[in-house]
Amino acid sequence: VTADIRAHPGSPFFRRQRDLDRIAELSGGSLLAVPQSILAQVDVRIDPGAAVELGIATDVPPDESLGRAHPGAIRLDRSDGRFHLPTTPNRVWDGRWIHALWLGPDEWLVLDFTSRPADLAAALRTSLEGLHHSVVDVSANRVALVLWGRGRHELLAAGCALDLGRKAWRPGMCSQTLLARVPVILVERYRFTGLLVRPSFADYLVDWFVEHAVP
Amino acid sequence: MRRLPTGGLIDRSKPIAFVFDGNEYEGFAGDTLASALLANDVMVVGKSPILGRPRGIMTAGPDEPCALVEVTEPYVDLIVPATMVPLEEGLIVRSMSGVGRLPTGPAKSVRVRHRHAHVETLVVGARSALPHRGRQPHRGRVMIVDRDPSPWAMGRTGPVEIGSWLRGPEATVLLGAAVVGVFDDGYVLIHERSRPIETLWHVRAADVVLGAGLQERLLAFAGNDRPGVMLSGAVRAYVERFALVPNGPAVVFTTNERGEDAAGALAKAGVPVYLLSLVTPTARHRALPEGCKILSGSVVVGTRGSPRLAEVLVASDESVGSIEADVLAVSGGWNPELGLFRGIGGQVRYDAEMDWFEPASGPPWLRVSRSRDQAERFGLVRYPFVPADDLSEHFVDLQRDQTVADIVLELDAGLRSVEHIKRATYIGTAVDQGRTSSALAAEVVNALLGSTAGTQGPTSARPPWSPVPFHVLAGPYRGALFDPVRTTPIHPWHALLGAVFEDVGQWKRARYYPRDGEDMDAAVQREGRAVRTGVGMMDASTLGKIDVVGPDAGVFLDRMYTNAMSTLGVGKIRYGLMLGLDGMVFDDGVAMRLAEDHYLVTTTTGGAARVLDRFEEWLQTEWPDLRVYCTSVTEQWATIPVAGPQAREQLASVGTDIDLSNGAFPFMTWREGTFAGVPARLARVSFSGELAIEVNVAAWHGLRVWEALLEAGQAFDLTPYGTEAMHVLRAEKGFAIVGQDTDGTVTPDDLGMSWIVNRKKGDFVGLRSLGRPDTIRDGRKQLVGLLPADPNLVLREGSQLVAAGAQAPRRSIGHVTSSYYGPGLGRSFALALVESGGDRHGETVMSPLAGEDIPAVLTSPILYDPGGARRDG
Repeated sequence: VTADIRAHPGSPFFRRQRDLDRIAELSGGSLLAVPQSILAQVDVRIDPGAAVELGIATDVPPDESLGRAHPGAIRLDRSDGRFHLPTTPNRVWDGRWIHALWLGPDEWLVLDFTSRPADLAAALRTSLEGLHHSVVDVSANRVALVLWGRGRHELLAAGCALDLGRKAWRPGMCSQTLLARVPVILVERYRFTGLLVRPSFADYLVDWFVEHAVP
Repeated sequence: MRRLPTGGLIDRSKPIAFVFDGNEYEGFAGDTLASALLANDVMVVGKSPILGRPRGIMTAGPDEPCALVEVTEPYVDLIVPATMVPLEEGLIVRSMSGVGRLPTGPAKSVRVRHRHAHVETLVVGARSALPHRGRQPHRGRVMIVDRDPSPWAMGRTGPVEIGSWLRGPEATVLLGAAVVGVFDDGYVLIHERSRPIETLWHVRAADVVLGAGLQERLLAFAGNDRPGVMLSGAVRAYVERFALVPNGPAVVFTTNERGEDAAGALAKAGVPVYLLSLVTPTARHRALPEGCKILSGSVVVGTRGSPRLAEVLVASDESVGSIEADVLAVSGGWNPELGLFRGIGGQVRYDAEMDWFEPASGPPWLRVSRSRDQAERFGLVRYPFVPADDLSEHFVDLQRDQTVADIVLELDAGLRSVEHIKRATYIGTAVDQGRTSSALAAEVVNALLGSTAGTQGPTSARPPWSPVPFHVLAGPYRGALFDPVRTTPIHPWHALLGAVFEDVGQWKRARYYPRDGEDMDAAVQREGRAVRTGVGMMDASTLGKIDVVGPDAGVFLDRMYTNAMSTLGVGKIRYGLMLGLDGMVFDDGVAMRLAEDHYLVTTTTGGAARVLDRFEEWLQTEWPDLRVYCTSVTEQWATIPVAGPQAREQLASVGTDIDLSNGAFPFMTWREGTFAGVPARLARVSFSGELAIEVNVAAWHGLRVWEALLEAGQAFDLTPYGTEAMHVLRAEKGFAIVGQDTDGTVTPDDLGMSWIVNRKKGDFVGLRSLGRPDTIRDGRKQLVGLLPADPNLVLREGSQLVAAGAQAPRRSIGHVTSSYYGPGLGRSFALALVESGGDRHGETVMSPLAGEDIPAVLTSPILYDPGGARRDG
């Protein structure tokens, strides 16, 4: 097996660095695609109302004030403020190193950039003890690609039916959708769009990006 | 026709050469193919598809029913009206006869992209929906679409640049773009012929404004299809926009005042005009320029000329005569163009005052906008066709070659509704979607039935409203991008080693790994023998995997599988079968109990998504009371079964803290620990019948662990094997594959697996159907083994089986579902579904193939190691 495969066995996106560079080149600087490592990803399923009723979580109302804006959420009380799960649909709770993505009324994807998968899962299980919950390590189940640049929404619009206009698709939002027939999770930030995808689809997606970057 | 030296909206400083039917011509920038052909006096551009009559150019827009052409350079369009082809350098076109032709040979590379857009307002047909002066009528994101490539529209006070009334970057103007269809909730498909990449826009609009222009209709008289007969609006467009005039005099025949405008335009350009107007003389007549001769009370009764128009036969009550002319402008009346509106279910009503059909009601997000000149009233005489004894050359739909006589025939047959007549004659069903013919056909029917005008109106058309090539609908999704290709974490290794892949759903799976000079059979035998005698490994990462978590997980799985999963001990594994509601085998896999409230179940590669969907469906719709969550973890894990008598030694050599001995790690259990330096879950499951241990590691470690196994495996000649060898090995053990040995009509009992149906544990999906009379009748097809008399002959999969000695006509008693040469058996064998097969072991049946009967003996499907001695090594 060649060195570049061996160097990045985890995410196929790293193997495709040359093609990703080509996308940036062809876009004339309006697009940059960068693979990203996320240490731990855990899928959490609970009934947020039941968590509050049981007294292990507290409702946090949405705050739209400048600089502190966050969606409505529940805070898991036993986690010292580490874990918030957004209850506003399609929103991300943005902790410093831990992000929680709303995937459904009873499902979240918790991303942790500093913990090991087993530690994150254990911490979440501890926070949810006593409540019917599912905490499943899915750290290797998806890989991440970050799209920078002002051309990113136009690129995505070639294969994604979501409204990615400024008013409908704002920073702090996330969505499970299809991109080029591939199931993905999109996460919108101020300067980039994050894309989480099952690794089996990564090569196909890069091929699709290249096809759409060529003028 | 000929080109005037001045005038028109063409750019005479930019001549453009083009080729039509092998002849070179020249036109100017701003021309369409149609106007450039007319400028070269090419009046005949093809033949009609059914009758083979010469046809010319009848219109100047997308309503063209005759001049359909095929563009071969510089792009490919298999069927397009010449009126819709902008003239460009290098254009090569050929005529056709209204029938498209699929090109043979390599497809020309046409690049197409799809693009999704969301707007607050979509304006279709900008020219007919010009905003009132100084007003900004639209909020938010606006898209304006017009099929004409010209950026200029005629406003009331002069030319207006389309979209110039919009401000800001949120406005998109698509010119030369055709609306394919308007669909539910403001979803609109638009084909933009952009270069070098064409675009299919998927637009979702909160509001759609349809600018409805006026559609002119034909008037039926004998020989109204002769090249040179044109709609009056088209003649006007060719004179004013393209500076084209007839070679000699022109005749204008109209039922309405608007049609008389063509006479005005022609006369203004210096053409001698004979105007046959059925309208009572009005102010307009008096305003007509000199050189315009009005023949009151006359109608056109025929045309002459071969192949193109040379003479127009004219008759009044008193006299009959003829006029030499090469252009005859015709106007049978006008209707707002409501094709898109009606395509989405918009209803129309007859407006007696205007004598046309108006929008009545439609979806709330859809509005029809009318340009102001339409509000202008114009006289109209109801006169759909010129009476004659012979109506067989009174054409109504030129693209379908249908005449008034054809309508008469259907009325004589008892048809009354225009909808029925449309389906009997195909009027209005051609590429032009009846733009010039539907309203005329309805008027002809009304007249022939003696109904008042508007009793029946034009039929509606469904998308595509404008023809759209299949390659545009396919867009970039062809070739390598046709469908997502899924690969496992170990895929790069398979690819480098030259594995031959097979498609399993969207997955690429390594089918076999040919060594130098090996064909598939040789490679599969080598790989299979390695598993039977030494050790092999394969990439099974594609198997579906679902975490089922919650206090009711056991109860839930009991209801999904035929056997009991709640009684499974933690640390243990159980094989399970799932049935459809019809009692037929749906999917299979194993369940591992990871904790009291936590199972991991596996599914077939192709069944992963539908099994999870089914779990969610039952949980959400039938048993919301069950405390269970399901999460797909298919791609969390790389799965590598290591199988063969030497599997334990092979695994131990890689390094693990898990005790692999049979006592500590028995069959159908799992253990967690470290393997090759990474966290792993090992499982004692076997699909080959050999001692096998399945290694599960996080997907990102998959390739590393695969390579570690290979490296350590050199001492054991560890052989990677593909899905083909896997299929052969499992078949020797009689393990059915769902979807290969089953086809949706097979019960567990048919597979000889009644042992897996637990009827005591309570209800489960499919149980009720297992008691249906047909499910329990005698004579159902059952899974059997099949040994051909010739041990080297491999039966064909799918071949039928007949009883030995049966007399013709012989009936099939079953069919072969899997057939291989068995590396463990050392002979050929097959699995088959045979009527009452379970009771017929030992019987000889015949497989008739190519005129020859191949004898084979029915046996138990479990051919290899029936006692199961090998699974513990």
